[in-house]
Amino acid sequence: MNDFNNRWQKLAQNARLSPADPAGDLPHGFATRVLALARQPAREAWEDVLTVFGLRAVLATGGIFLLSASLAFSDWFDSRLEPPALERTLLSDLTWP
Amino acid sequence: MPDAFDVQDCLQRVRDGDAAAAHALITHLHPLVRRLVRNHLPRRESEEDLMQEVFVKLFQKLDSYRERSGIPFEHWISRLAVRTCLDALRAEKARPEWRFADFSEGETEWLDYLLNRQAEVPAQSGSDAHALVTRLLALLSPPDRLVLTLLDLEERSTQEISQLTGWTRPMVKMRAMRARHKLRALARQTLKSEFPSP
Repeated sequence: MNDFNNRWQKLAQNARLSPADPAGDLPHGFATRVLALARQPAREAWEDVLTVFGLRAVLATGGIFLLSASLAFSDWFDSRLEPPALERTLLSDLTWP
Repeated sequence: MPDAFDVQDCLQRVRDGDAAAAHALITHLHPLVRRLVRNHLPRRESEEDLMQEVFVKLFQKLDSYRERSGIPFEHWISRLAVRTCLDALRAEKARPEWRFADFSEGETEWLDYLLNRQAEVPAQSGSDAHALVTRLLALLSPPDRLVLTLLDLEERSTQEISQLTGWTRPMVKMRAMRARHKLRALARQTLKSEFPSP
């Protein structure tokens, strides 16, 4: 590892020798844009949390809705009509001698 | 003249709502901010966008800055810029996977030098070394990349890095050591992509 560290330091040293790109001038209208954006109220942390979790919450709610809707419709189209088991038991108790 | 620029006076005028002072402050600080952003720029982020984010934060948080003796405003803005860059690096969903074929001839010579005990120092230009370092650092996690950039490329002390990042000095040293371990493994992996073991 020491050998690697030495070689890495040599590489970094040479990388530092690379001529840096000139900083250049400010892009046109940069300061005006920055000041306009800075005047807008800063986003609160809870807004970021809502942004992150909002879409996931909508998707999860939609998924649950579809699941419950499919379960409801499966019962809806079930055409078998049977008397409830409790009713059947009471009826048989009452009518049986 | 840049030496004559009075930052504290300018800050006071900015607080009083002087737009010209705000423009002057941006002009004065932009070389520093640009250099920091350039060194820690995520691959898919525009340098100008990230600089803009730093300056917007500067003006929004200006009231939280308190002048303390011996701590220049430039340190405060450096810390703000480094943290903004770290957040941007963290927001990147994926890190690149370099293939050996992606490297230039000069970069492969440096990569060979890095991993091969017998290899001599390449007689290539510093730009190849810089390109390779940038590629390798991009493979690391954002905090690992940040600490090696600050320590090995910008030659900052652990004390300075501690102030910039909020990490303790032992944490900085530990993270740098682990980051170099990971860097070696990733560099070897990159080399193996060209020469897979039989």
